[in-house]
Amino acid sequence: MKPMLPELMQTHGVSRRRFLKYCATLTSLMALPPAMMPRVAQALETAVRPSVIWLSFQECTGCTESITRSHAPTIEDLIFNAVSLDYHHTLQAASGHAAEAAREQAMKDHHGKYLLVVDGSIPVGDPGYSCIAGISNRDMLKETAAGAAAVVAVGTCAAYGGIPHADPNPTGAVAVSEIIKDKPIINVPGCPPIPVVMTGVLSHFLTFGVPKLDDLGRPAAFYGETIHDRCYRRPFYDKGLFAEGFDDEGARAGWCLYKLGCKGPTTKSVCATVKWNGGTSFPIEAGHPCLGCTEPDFWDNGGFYRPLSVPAGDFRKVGLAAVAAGAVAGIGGGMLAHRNRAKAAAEHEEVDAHDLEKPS
Amino acid sequence: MIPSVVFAGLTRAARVPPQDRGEGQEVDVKTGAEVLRSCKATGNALPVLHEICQALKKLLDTGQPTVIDLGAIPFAGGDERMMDEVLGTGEARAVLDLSGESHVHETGISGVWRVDHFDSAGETQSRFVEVAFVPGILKTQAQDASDGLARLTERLQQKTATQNEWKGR
Repeated sequence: MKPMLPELMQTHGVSRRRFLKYCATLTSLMALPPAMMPRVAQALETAVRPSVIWLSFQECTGCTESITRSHAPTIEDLIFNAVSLDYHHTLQAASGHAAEAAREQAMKDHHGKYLLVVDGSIPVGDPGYSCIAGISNRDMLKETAAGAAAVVAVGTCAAYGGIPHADPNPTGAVAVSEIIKDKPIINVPGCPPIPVVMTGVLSHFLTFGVPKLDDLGRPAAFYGETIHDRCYRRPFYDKGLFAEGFDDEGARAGWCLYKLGCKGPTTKSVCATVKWNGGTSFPIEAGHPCLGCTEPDFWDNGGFYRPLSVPAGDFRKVGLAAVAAGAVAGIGGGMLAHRNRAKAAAEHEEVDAHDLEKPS
Repeated sequence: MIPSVVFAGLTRAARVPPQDRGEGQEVDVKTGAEVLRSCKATGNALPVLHEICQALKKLLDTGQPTVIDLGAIPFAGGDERMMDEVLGTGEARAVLDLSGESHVHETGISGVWRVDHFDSAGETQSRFVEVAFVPGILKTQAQDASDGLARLTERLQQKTATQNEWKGR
């Protein structure tokens, strides 16, 4: 049996003071009041390690890379180690029948209590497109979700279909939520998601259960604001200063990348504050527009380098309200003209910042 | 005149479309620092200062500390400036090395502390105002003291053994 968090901290020479610093930041990140910090710390220390079954379907392994590739040993690693990862095709040593036996054993031993993590989309056009041990992804998902306490759809593929779902969607890829209807599903989109967001969601599940979700099933604490809201280039947007090319004066001066296709105004994520690679940077800081990878159908959004008003695709029906709300909030308190937005959404028309500012 | 509205902690200036600009009118180009300095206040500083005032009264009446998460409130450069102006700088200052620095300093109002956590790259992780006699993060934790006792005991045993070895020669 693996040691629990206090023993792991001691093994890695992590002081309790350092742990409390982490808890203070985590409490802030989870949008909980600071008075909850002792409860977060206590819950993390005393939580019974939940059994976790991680299923990988139509995916690129980027989500697993993201959560495992951090500067070891971080406390995030320790928290990740504080769960019992009973099945993960990529990470586990066992393979073939032994691997499947481990999954079945975990399902039996922890029925109704285990956490099911899924990355990758599920092909339903022809289930044979993606199988594990001769079992189709759809059947394995249904079978494993039946005894789960909750399902975490990690990455945009599991949350919304992602890249496999991109037009023309040759495998008939769908999201977890299209198949599982009777379990709480927490969507943690991103291509891949930020490691601390994954561990933050996991921590919330360990401490207080399923977090508050937005209209697209994402934890509101991590997906409550657009990247644009917190972007350090926002003042340039507010001043109307835009880079028009990747090598012009504006690009060199670090101006807003909106006209180069930045999807920050309609993309909800904490990239601008939490950042990547141990808090080093995020795409916009590196000079590249946000691709909008936490939003449904970001791949079919008309081109990464073309400014558009709202994402396109089937998920628009489900998510239009939330996406539109994000767009409105992101670009300035209701100034987005409804007429322009609807027209652009229907026709994939390019719009620039001035068009969006025109009153309806 | 460029009209401005306050939103989400930042002042946004409504842009003047190029066609509406006067002939020969130059675009006002500012550096990033200048733009950030030009940010006005959201108006949140004053309510937070009142909250701090109430928290200080509570600390004196009941001994109960209060922590205010500044990351949960839209704050612009103007708000930070106003808070710094009102609170001032105090006597105590500490830098903790905890997987990145944590800066703790008492403001000019005794009992009101700023606690800012940074990661190893110097990026801000979280920012708090703590109204307390001593901020929690500065206190030695019982578990750490226990680990310290074990380490000190081990070192003393080593030192004693070394000295005994010398004496034996």
